[in-house]
Amino acid sequence: MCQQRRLFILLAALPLLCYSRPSVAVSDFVVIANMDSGIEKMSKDEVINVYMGRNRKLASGIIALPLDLETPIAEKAHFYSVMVNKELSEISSYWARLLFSGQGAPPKQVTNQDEAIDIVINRKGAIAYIDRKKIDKRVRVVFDPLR
Amino acid sequence: MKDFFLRRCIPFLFFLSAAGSATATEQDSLLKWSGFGTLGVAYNSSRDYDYIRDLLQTTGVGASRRYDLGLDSILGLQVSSALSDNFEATAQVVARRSYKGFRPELSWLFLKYAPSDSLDLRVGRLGFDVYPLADSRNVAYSYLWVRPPVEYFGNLIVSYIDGADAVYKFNTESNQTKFKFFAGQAQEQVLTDSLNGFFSLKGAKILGAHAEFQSQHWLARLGLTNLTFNNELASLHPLMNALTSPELTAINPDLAHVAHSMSFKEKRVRYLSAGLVYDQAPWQAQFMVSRLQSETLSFNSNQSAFITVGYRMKAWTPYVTLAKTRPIDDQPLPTNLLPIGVNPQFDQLNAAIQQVSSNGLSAQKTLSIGLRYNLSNNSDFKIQIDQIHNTERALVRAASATWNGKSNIISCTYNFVFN
Repeated sequence: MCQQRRLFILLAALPLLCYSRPSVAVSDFVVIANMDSGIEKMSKDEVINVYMGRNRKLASGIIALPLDLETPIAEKAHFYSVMVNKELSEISSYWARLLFSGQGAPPKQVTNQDEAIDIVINRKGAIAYIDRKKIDKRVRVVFDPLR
Repeated sequence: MKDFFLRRCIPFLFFLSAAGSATATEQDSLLKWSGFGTLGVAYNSSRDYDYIRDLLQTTGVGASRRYDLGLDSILGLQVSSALSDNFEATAQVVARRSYKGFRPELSWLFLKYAPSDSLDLRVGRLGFDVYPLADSRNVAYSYLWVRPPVEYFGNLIVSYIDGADAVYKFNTESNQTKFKFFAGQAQEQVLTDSLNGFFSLKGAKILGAHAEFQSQHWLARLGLTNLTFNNELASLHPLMNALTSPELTAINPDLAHVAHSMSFKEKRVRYLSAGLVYDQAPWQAQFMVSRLQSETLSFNSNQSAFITVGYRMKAWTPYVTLAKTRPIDDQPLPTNLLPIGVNPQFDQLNAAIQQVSSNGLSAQKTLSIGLRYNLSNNSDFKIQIDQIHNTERALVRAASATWNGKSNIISCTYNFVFN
């Protein structure tokens, strides 16, 4: 019983032992869409609603296909940090709850930014967040966190 | 009904998947497989009772075994297929310790139709969405705790329904308002501890609704669900027959009324709940209250609540939970309905009535502290210590008469998801 009490106290003290300052992020991505998506701009809320599964459709009525980057993982982490102030593990927990209670599935995972751009060019409903240096004329920027 | 699901619906689902494959585009996989699991070990400082996760478990840790790999360990596998832009089919099988042991059980199997962003309709086998998070309580990676607070979620005797639900939702800026209605039948069984038998909920009718408001950092929900029992508990029959016999009702006419109030068939249980969830990094907190109102004396009314607060520091999230359940006192227990000390059989019947009405009582509070460590973006490790104080035994199993109602549970789990 005494050992358990010590363990209880140790566990209660752990927050102090593992405290660290949250890191500060910089916004350098933009959200892109297909030229025929029927949307010119998206608000931050609209992007969040699509990426968090609250809206299945874009404002134009087309079924949305949000894309998540598997690499670089820092880009994905940065996007969710700026948009919803959450760590990737929290995003993953959020989707675990929705996915396994039949309420929706997380965004499609793509391997890198080039693949994301290819899909956005070819699929009307696709949207993706990419490094602003990678913007080209075949896609439309619909959300820029710096504006 | 269950056979119907296993024999007809699974082949039906795969038939639909194959049909859906013709319309799916090449970029999308036809069947999406995903899964979740927990590997856990739990230790109970007391050997005087079995600590259980919920009433669907028949044994736990403590009296049956001091260390237990089975209390929290779970494996779930899900497959879903988008049949078209608006139709989706999903099946989920879960293996966890329940009244059937670790036999995998079909926990979800539904066809979903989403004609617009504001409406979702589902038909088939669906998780019992009676409280916030109740329909995802097997997925430990989705929450902070090792297991959902037992005082709140452990009282549930249903984990899925065969029926239908409808969700109407609308967004205003970044907020979402949701109304959900569901109806169906229960299929599961509950161990009736002291009477050494199972009570079947098969065919119990369930009807429920809730309203939910979600903003970026807050989620609030109010819900009401009714469950109407369809079966009688067989082991109660001898007692009920005795109490309604002409010889005894001649002595006390109230006995027929007592017998009726013990019965299950056509009696209702009403679950009223409210929940508030706060989530703004680094803080997260949950507060939920519920009131379970039962029409039968054999399944007692209670009220439950819990509060959890967690604070995330990078991969570490320490948390503390306080949970409590207690009986509602508005049902006075009948005592000595037959003259005492006159006839030994009368004394036995008086004792039996008392036993039935007290068996269903649950009063327990737990202080838990724990730590979640995110190993990766799809797995974590948790350690939790629960200080239990139990005063009425319905939420535990195999309690000895000498147990003082106190114990500590130490649990470690590894949790993962894949998709």
